[in-house]
Amino acid sequence: MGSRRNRNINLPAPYLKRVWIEPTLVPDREAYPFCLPFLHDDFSLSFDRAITIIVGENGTGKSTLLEGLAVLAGFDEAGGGKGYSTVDHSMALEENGGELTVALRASWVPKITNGCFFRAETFFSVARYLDAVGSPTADFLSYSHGEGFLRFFEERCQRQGLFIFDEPESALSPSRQMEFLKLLYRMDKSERCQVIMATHSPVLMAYPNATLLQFPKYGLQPTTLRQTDHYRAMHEFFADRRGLWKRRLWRLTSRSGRTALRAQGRS
Amino acid sequence: MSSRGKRNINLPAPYLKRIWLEPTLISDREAYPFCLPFLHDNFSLSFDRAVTIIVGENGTGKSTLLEGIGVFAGYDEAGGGKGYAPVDHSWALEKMGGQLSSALRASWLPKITNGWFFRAESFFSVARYLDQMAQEYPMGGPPPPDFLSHSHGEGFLRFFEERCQRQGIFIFDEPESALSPARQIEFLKLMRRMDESRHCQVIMATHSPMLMAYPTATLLRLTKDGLEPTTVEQTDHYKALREFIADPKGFVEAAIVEVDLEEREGGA
Repeated sequence: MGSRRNRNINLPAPYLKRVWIEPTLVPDREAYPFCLPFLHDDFSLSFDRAITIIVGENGTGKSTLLEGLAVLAGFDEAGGGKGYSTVDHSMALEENGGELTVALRASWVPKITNGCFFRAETFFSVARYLDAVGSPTADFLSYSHGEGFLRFFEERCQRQGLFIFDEPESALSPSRQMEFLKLLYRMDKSERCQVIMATHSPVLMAYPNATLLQFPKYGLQPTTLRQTDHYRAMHEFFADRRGLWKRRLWRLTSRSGRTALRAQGRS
Repeated sequence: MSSRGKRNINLPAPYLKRIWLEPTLISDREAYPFCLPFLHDNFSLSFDRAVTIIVGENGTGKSTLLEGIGVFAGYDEAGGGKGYAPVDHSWALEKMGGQLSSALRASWLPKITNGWFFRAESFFSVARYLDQMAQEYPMGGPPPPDFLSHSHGEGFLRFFEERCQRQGIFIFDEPESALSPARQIEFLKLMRRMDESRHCQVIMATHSPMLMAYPTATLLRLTKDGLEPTTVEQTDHYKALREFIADPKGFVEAAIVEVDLEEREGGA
């Protein structure tokens, strides 16, 4: 391949190859974030594809890990980039990602510092901003609305870099999630964007060329879409909604409520 | 029924029976929110069940409508109640609900002012607050061994349950934000409990088919023309996700292949 005369590096993503804990650097094993079960002495996470998707319930430390990676790459922990202000920068939790990095080590090929960290709240703000801007006059029920959303992120995700997304599905309707999948694909195809994303959305988890990791108590394990609780719950809903209500909701319900439910089900 | 001695009213929910637009009170027809297509002179919305769910694409004015109702009931527009601070209070859009309420009229039976207004951002804050509590408990020590287990989702439910026990009107704007599918099921349980108590009225806007499908709710779709009854199966969200669940690979590839097609056209 011919040199592109830019500062751009001609190696393909992923650039961040591995992160791990250096136990000798952990200041206090009892304090957050090092008390998180997955952050044991042998914690190590390798990135072998351009796109890595992390799945897991809230409270497992997913966001803390993403914040740690963002700080490692030199981004603002509260989510950063030009052209928008971060929401709710005051929460103490956000500093925990920074605390994590004191004991994190990373190998890069090569080390890059370009990129962006998008928190869930960012997606929210952007969606709301576009709604507010588009509301009075634009044809906001049309396809163009979702397009604007995609373009916002595309402009920010074109350069070579490391891009971290925390729950981008927030405020994204299924059609906007499909737009987001397209964005992922364009970044993937460019071969110079590394994406690390945490999500609750089965649609985003289904991105084909990604490494899908499940965040359980004691570390990150490879998984498949169909194995995730998220997919299963949604599958259960679409396959047998009545059964789902029966198993999960009716148990709470009194006899009179049940009669009403049954009547409702029949109609 | 015997009186319960409390100030509680013994009538069952819904308490807010109907809201409508009073055209003579509109300050400026050209300005937001009154330029929203659904807010024509004949706009009226009746509540005939304890739970009302509103669906519709972003930008139709769903949140503005909820804010208007929230202000009407006497809550802070940015989402309110005791014990937590609303996030991001600075958005101009949030003031639109207040403006809307100036031209709204309502019939109550009876008028109640208890309740809570939860914005989507509130759910983030609560999820994060609970994460933080789990981490900090007990007082600087290691987290309790079960904090990653089911109890975490339970804590989430309990947070809302504590605030939704009293008689009142509860407004939820996109509660599915920051909720995994498993937590959405927890949220459905909360709705079931509120519904069964017969003294909670719930008005919710959502994009989540799981929440829309709550069995004993009135489901309304907000369009340019106003609110019309619908079923979960008729919503675009349900259709899209059902298609996805039936064939995840095919669904995703169909989205992605468009990128290749566009590029080929662009290159040709």
